[in-house]
Amino acid sequence: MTPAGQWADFHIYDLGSQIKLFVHPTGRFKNVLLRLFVRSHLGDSPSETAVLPHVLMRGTRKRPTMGKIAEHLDGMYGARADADAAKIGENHVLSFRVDCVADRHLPGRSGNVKRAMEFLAEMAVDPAGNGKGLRADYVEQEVRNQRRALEDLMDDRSEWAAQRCVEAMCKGEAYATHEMGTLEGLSKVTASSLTARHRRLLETAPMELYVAGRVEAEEIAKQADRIFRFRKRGPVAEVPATVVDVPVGEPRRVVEQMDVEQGKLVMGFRTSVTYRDPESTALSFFNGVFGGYAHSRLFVNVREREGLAYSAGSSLEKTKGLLMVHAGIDLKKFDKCLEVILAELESIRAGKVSDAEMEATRRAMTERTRAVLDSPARGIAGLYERRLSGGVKTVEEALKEVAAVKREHVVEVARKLKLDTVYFLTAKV
Amino acid sequence: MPPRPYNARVLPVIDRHSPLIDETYHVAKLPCGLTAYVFPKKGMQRKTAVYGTLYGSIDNDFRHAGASYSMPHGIAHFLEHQLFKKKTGDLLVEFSKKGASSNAGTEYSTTVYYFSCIDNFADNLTTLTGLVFAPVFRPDWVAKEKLIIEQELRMYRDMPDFRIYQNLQESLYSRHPARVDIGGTVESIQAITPAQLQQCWRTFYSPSNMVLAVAGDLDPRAVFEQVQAGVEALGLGRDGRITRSYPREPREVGEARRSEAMQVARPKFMMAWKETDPPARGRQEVEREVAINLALDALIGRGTRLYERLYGKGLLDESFSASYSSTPTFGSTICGGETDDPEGLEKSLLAGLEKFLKDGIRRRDLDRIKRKYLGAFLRGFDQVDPCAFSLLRFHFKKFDVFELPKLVSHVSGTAILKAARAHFGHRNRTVSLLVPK
Repeated sequence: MTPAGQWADFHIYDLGSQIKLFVHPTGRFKNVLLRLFVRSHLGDSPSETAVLPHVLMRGTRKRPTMGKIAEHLDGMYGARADADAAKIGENHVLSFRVDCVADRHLPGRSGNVKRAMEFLAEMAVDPAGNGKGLRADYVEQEVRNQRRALEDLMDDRSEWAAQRCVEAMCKGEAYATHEMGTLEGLSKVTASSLTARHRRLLETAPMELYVAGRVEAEEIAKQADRIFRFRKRGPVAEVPATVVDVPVGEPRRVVEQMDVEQGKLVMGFRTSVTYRDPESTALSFFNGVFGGYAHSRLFVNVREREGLAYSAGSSLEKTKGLLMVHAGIDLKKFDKCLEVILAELESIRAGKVSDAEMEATRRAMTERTRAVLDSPARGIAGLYERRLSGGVKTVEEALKEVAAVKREHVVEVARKLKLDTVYFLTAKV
Repeated sequence: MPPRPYNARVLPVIDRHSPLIDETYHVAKLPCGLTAYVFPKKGMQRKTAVYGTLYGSIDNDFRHAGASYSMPHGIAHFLEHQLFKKKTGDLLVEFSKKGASSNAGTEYSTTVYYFSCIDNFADNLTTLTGLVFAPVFRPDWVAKEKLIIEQELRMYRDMPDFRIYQNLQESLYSRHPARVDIGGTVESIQAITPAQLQQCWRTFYSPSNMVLAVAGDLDPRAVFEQVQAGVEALGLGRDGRITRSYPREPREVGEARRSEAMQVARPKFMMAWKETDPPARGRQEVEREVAINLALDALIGRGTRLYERLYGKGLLDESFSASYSSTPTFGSTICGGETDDPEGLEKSLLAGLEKFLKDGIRRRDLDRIKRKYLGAFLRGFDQVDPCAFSLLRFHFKKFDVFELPKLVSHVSGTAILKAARAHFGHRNRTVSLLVPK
């Protein structure tokens, strides 16, 4: 097969079944990674999409039980396989993963990588069942597990607070839905509805396959083209783009109570900046100054100076264009904490960013960017995520952009932030 | 560049090579007393260094240089926080400013400090050396740290998984300090003074009680020389003998069953067996760990019929796990997860265990599980951090990590069964439950 192109270290191929294949051959690792991404919209049957990977992991036509699958994987020198549904902006992405040891490091002609790819396809495409559809008992059990997992969300107070803040902030938007779906949606899932969902995804969902490790690109492409064949596939559907620009009014305040000793403060900002925008790197830079690192304002001031919190920081979602602030704080210090955080934001907006802060952030971002070179898994995840919003950059390009960020860019992008929602999880009175 | 001659003072360096994974690490006992390891990883961007001391939350009663001490619970963890505080500011922030990320962790019997970076490795290593070997204990800093640690302890208390685990530890041990949370309690940390912190540091942070492990694209000799010079410059040398004492822990558990109500979605279940005869550090300890963990894998690992049956019945789910670990003074097997029917799960697990202890492990299963272990070993050194951390962990275990595949391949079904029969008893077993309020 001839590659359709090359991007950075990746050789790109168009497989016959309308799947794009990205191969990154590298001799530095003993592990070979295989990833298949299947994409739909978070507003389109999210509960079914979310439960599907768990049903598929229960068994394939050739290996209909978890025991048979585990035996197969252990036999491949402890290959690891799993699948889940993740949320990237308003994309709902099924990802199927297999990791295995490269053939080079194994005794004899093991064919380990080929078997790993075959199993990846088996898992995604060829489930256990009587040929007519997914096994009803598996569907029932996994719907039950999924319902429990959704209910269990509240057991992790920080994650719960983060999700509740997003739900309040993005009410009416697809983004409000959790990647695990909804309890209401799950109650309607049946074996036949899930079988139909699975078939529709295989026929129409955009799919990309990634392989990284000690492999030969051409050989992988040939194998993939042979292994990833479908009875029926195409035309590939268009997934609606993530809605980024949403009007913001007065900040909304949500207070909820739970059995907690420590309060959780979450603040949701809209930045209206995503990977594809020219301010993308400046936004990351701002986040670095504000709350992304241990030298950032939030950590230094909220935790170290004021002793208000054990944890305080911020993170970005650059497909939807959100910046979230998280802090675990003393229950009585909600107002003080909020005040300190907003004062830090104002000071950055007023241009009070020191040279030392700029350089520390630049160094930290440079190191983080280069660190991708050590981790094929992060390389794949990063490339896929960026491809979704169209802001793909090589490591060299990204480093150049980081080097070029000036204080005024940081201040400018800080001024674009709009506080949408303040959420506080506090103790019951 | 021609190779520089060895600094005669840091010899001898021992090289360990694993033909299986084609990797080599180097270890030297430096004149200052510190043991240092370097695991070169050619072509990797990232470099990681970690200092460890054989001192953790259980080491509160000890003798050193002729005097006896009894320290408050949580002091090892408090000391870990305090060592980051220097006249120039917080070192966590300092590392971050240099583009490095750093952290530390206190366990029951060890404490570690680490950073990873791409550039300026030598500079960061100097900072880390100063972090552990040049402390400042100011009363106002100690007072403020109490606020931060109190928040940390409260954060943990809000985590259901922590709560059920802490209850389990309290039931498992009636006297051993492993029954107390590593961070201590909100009350116990109030009593901590700068003088006590100073004493604990003096006792447990002498170079001879510590180890350094480094991984990345680095020259081992340069690292050894830098560290020796750095420690020497701080005027530290070998220090006196430390005698730690622990209360005698009975073979039976303190409490057979414990249950607490909390605001959780559904019940959580944990069951543990106390190690009644902890082996000494070295091969014996590693052999025991491997044997019991192989047994657990054969009993209730993902590939087993028991797991599949209980999963299908809804008695357990992906949150379920089981593992064994041990130190010279305490250890246990802990298993558990979320379940709607804790009693049903307990019964089924015990029935499965009884059958396993009678029948033993099937040859086919043993081969399969050993293959999985070998794969995990082969993959284990692909990333920089695990190289450094494995060296450190196995240094404390007094075992060469590269000998692990051989040790695993030699463990027999009979040895596994013997170890399991000695370990899984009735009176050393306890159950901890968390039920929805």
